[in-house]
Amino acid sequence: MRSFYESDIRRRVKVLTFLLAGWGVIVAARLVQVQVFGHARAKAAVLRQARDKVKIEPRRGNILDRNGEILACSLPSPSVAIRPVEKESPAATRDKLAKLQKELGLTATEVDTVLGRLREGYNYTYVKKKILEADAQRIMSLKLAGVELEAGTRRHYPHGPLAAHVLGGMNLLGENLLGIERRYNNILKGEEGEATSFLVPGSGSYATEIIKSPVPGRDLVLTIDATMQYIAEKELAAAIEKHRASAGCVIIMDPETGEILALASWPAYDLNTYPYPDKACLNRAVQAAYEPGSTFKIVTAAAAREHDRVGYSELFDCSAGFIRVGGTTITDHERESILSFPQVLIHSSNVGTVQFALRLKAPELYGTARDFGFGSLTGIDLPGEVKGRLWPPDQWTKDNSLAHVAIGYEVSVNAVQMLRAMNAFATGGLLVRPHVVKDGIAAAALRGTEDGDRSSRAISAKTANELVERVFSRVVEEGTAKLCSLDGYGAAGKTGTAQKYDDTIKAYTKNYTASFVGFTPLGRPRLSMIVVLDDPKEGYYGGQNCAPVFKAIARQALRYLRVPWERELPPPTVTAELKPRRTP
Amino acid sequence: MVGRKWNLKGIAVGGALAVVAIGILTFYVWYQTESVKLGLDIDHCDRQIRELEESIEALKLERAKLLDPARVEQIAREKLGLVEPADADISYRGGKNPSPERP
Repeated sequence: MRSFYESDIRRRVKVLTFLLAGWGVIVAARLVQVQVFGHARAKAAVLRQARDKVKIEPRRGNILDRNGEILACSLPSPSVAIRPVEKESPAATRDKLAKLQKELGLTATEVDTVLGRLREGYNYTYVKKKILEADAQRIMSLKLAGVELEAGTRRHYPHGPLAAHVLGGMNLLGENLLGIERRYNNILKGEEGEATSFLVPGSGSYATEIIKSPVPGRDLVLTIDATMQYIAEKELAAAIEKHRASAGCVIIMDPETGEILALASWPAYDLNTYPYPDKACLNRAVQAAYEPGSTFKIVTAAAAREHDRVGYSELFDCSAGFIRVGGTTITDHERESILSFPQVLIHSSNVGTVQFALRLKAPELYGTARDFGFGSLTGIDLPGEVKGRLWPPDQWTKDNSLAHVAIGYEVSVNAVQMLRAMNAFATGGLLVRPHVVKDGIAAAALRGTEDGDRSSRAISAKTANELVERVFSRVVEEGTAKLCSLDGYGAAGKTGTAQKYDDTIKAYTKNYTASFVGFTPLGRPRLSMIVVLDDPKEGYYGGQNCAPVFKAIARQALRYLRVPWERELPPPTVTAELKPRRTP
Repeated sequence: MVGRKWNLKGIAVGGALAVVAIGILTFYVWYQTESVKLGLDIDHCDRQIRELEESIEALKLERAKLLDPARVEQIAREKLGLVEPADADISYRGGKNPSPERP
């Protein structure tokens, strides 16, 4: 017989078992209800919660000048987005968008587009991309349901138009890249991150879970010096205005390393004002080719000396003022007399140049021009470099081309090519590769193997040094470039004035391209520079309008670089004015 | 009825075990609390670092704007009335360039 206690325990166990079984049945029934009968609804709820993966924009790398000054950076610039709100009436949605329209200055079409997307059931719609942070804060203070901000950045250029053609720029959305922004985009842009956005059950708000953090872009250090860039742009703009030129460019390079210290092209544009004017976007230093005219005589002279076709004491009769070659007549800008070989170049006589150039064979002149890098890319790390034109000798006109090429016609060059060629005289005959990015790793990664990418010897050191000493320094001291003679420093260079060819009328016009290319100081060159003015209306000779620009820039740049005087300064000129005598 | 005799050794072992158990639990709770606290501190520091980095970027940008060469020149010329010195007013330490030979 069971005791009272045993019966009580059994009864209790039974009750507990029933209770547990009942609980189990309830749970199972609920599971069946949710997962079997409520499958479709549950799936829809899950799909509502889950979002497509959202890209997280990385911070784009800064662009710095050689001294670490910021030339381009990225500022926070969120985008406004909207999500549908459950049980919100269409009228309330319209009211909400009306408020956004007022705050963000949206057009009626933009509002209609957003409303349309919300009606179609899109879960995420951009209202406006890349707005200012202040605007974003104002929007969020309105506390509009379903309206949220997506983090992002926009490009900002603190110096506005400074170095516009080097930096290139980009629009607010990070598209339409130009210049460095385009060339080094892979390094600057970083790696996008990924996140999942989902509806938090019960709260009605969305949360974001980061799957992969974005990797910020690398900073890029340029060879450009912001101060020298400013000097170059200021003086170029002044010259353009003074000589009423239609366009122009200035490039300053470190002769030893090929580092571009400044590159100015005009017309310029403000990098922070988008869209950029189409005409201004052309980088005339790299993306435009022109017939160089007399500056190309540096190649002719080098070829003649390298092939020993002319001596420094040889004389040429230039007194006629013209020379007939083939079917054409080549003239001088003013009639000269009998000139020695150096004087021919110092006075930039076409007649004299043609006389010694005709002693060369076409392949010899062509070969020297190729050695100087003409007809091939310099490898400068800016997009869109043009090769220019240097036809091979078998395409030259038998009677004319040699003479025309010798004085810088029938060839076209870009300004960087011309500067690099002149720079060979500053380096004792070596061609350096011009570049604008200082950062070695980044540059090495992207420099590739473009045509003309390697440094090479253009001419012998003897030829280079002799021509500088006997000819190109005297061009500045007593020749066509007298206006760029600097107090305290020696300089060497060559002027150029070329008539422009008009493709529509198939003839040369009375419009000119004026240029000056040179370097300074003579002892240890610190700057090589080219100045090109396109179609100047007031004074069209390179010596008249470009040489003074060289002087103005070089004077300021040498001071800025604290380059000591290499020769005595001329004694100061004391001027005095007598007061008019009082008549008694 | 027989009274149970207290085993002092057993009580001591039990007490010690209880103390150890309580100690471990206390340590575990302290450890967890500290971990969470440190996590929060790290998070706070990370946020501070981000904010400071943003401030540094903003200051660098401000500096770049203030040192804009055009602005500096304008202030120098217009506000301070400075003019460029004449060549003769400039002397370089070491005097003339030693003029190394051209390459």
